Amino acid sequence: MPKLKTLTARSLRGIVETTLPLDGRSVVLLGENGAGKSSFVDALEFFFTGRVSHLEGAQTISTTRHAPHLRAGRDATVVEVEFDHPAVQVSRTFEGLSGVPADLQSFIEQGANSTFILRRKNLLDFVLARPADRYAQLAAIIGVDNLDKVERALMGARDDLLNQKDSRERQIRTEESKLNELLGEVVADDAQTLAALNKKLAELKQPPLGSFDEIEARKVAAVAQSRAPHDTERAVKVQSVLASVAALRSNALFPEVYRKLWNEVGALQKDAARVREMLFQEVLASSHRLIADFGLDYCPVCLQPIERETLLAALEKRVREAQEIAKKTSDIKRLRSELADRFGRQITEIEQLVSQVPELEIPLEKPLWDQYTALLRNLLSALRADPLDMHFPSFDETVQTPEVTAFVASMGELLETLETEKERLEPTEQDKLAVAIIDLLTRVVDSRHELNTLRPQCRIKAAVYREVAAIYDCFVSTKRTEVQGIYRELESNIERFFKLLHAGEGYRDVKLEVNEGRRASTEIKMNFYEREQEDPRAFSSEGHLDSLGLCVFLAFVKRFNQGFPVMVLDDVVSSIDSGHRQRICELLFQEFGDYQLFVTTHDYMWFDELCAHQRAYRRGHLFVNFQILDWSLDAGPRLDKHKPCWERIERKLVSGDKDGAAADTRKALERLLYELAIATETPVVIRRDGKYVVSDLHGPFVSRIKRLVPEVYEDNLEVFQELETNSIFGNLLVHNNPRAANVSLEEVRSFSNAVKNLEAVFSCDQCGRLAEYHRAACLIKCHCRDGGIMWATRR
Amino acid sequence: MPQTVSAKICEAFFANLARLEDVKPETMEGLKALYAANRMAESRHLDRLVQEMENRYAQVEDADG
Repeated sequence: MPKLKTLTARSLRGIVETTLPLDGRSVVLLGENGAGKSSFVDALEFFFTGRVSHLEGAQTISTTRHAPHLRAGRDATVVEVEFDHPAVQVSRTFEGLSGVPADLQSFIEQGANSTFILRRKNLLDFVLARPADRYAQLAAIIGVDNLDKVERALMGARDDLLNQKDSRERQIRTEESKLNELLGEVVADDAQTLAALNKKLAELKQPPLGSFDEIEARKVAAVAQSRAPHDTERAVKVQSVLASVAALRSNALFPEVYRKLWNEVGALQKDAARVREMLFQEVLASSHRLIADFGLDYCPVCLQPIERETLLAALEKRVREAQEIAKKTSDIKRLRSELADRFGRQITEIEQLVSQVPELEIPLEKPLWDQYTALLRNLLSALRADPLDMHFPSFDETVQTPEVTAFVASMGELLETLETEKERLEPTEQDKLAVAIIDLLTRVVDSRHELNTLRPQCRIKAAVYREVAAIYDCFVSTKRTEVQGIYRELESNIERFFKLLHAGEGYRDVKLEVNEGRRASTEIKMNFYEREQEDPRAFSSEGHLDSLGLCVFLAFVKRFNQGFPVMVLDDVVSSIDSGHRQRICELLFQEFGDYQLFVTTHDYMWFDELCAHQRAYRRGHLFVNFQILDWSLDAGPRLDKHKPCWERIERKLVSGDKDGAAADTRKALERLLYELAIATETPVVIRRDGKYVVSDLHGPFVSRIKRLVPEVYEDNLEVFQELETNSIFGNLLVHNNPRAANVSLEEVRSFSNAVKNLEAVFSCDQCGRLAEYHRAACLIKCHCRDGGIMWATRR
Repeated sequence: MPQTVSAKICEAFFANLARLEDVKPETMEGLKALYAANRMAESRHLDRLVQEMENRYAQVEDADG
């Protein structure tokens, strides 16, 4: 497999121009927060994929705008990688890759399609995520996140079709009830309509129609039979327009449903913050279940102690509120659809009237009618918005505008004119009969035409909906089955890795389940002692959850990145304690020994541990360890080869950097005592923030050693006494203590030697690791199988 | 280069789809063309496919009178 010999980044993120000389080896990169470690990770991601994923997914940031260095344009951004086999240099710019030989093509393509970077943020998000978000992360690793977009697009197409079909069905029902009312009976098809129409014609003493084709001739004949054909025709039109205007005016222009919708939307918008509760509904309900079912007396998310009954009552209230909000938004959707139909029909009716009235040579204040139609169109457009973004005037404001008042007045005037015209055209009995016949026939023809247009449209929409729904269902079930299959393949590795990290801690049977009931959702379950298939959050610390997330990632990498053995762990072990971190080292070396690893950390201890493990596993030649000394905007990160902790301190002592050496020594002592306290199971007063200072740990640790292995204490009495004498500095040198200025360089050196000597007592010369207490075996021992540290402890 | 999971799922999807009576061969072809062009996730392309489906059903309606 090709290995990376050098990685050179120019004008990318915090890097101005820096080369990481790798020579095909793995790299461990140490640096404070903000020193530019992640810029190297970004450079690697940009090289293989052309993007920086954490800069995407939000509207305000993007790879193109924010990946280039702050003071450089995107044209200056280049990442160059020199490979060993084949020995070539490949460059990536925003224009793409150049210099890729054919035999490297497949490797680089796999890099582009693989998820090989695990960032701290991903790890934290993973286990604590909602099932849907967790699914999204796994989908990105598996490489099926694009399919999720397909699923959403198919679902959108299906739902649009369903809405269109439902809307046609509503229109058909309205038109059918109009026709049934006109004919005085329920008619289902043309034959029944013709039969019912003939009955109506018989009531008017008219011969039956043989078919609908005869209607136009029958209307002409009816007009001809009337005394004044022209007036009769006009009377029919006046009658029809009069009926339409009267109907428009009598059916409230702004129905009650509008007031209701406005009130509902108004209430929802006033309480927009509560809408977010809907998003948490599932988390709240799960939390309630967890706390109630398992009788937890701590929060399953943040592990803080809780007043159970009070929290349960509060959760119940919030779940209820979230359900109410969900119901309200659903009501708003229904009202919105109903109102949109209603306004749409009004617009059609008004448009018809606007063209019919002038034909009768009756004046119509067209601008008023146009204004009103425009108002309705605006309302229709406002109705399409999301309820929280819906902006339209209140019911009273809409009804009481001058435009609406003028429109209503105009309708009143038009009605009066039409009534006068109707009276002027007061027909004879013969005319009345002709008008009734023509009106009946015209309305039946109109309704039939409308239904004959709507029904096939509805059938087409229904057929396409069925087909698209079948496609969507098939897509979802195929994806679910395949993804679940992949999860099954991965579970054994996840479990194996997790057991390696947490041997004997009661965890087993880690399962990833695609949630059947929800779209794109993954549950994570595991057994903990006798409790089966529980949410890991119920029984795990943050460190355990982090290492579970890490194991899932590693299992995915092992399964999917076989042709691309490159893996990046960007600052991912912060919350994991020393014992478990050592096992992570073992896991990485055992399972990913053939990978080119990029590990970044801000944690000096983890950095030193990784370096120690390289030596212990005889893999030093496969690693290169760098420390970022500092970073500046104009120069970028400044790299230096790794210096072990004591070498760094010594260098500072020699250069007279008393404060630097003192601070590093104090940190080293804090870390050492912390790790020794864990390794020896020393009881200490728990600090909620997890931050311990020397005075918290020193006394309890020494007491523990005196009790467990008094002879070790006696043999190293000088070391303990030296530390006792100097530990005052540990407390004195706490941040910003003004009295620390009085400490001399020699006193710092003496303090440094005391800490170093303590570390030497409990560190194994052979395996380089701290000894640990094994309670069951009554031993304090290191990891060496033979030799090394092994002290029998008192019971 | 091994087949990606996404490609594998899509292949299985099209195989399953071919077994569904509700889905017309022309629709299958249209979907496959979208997939080949990497456009299956784009709503406007799906909308166009849906429009073509509606046109085909409309032709059948017309033919049936």
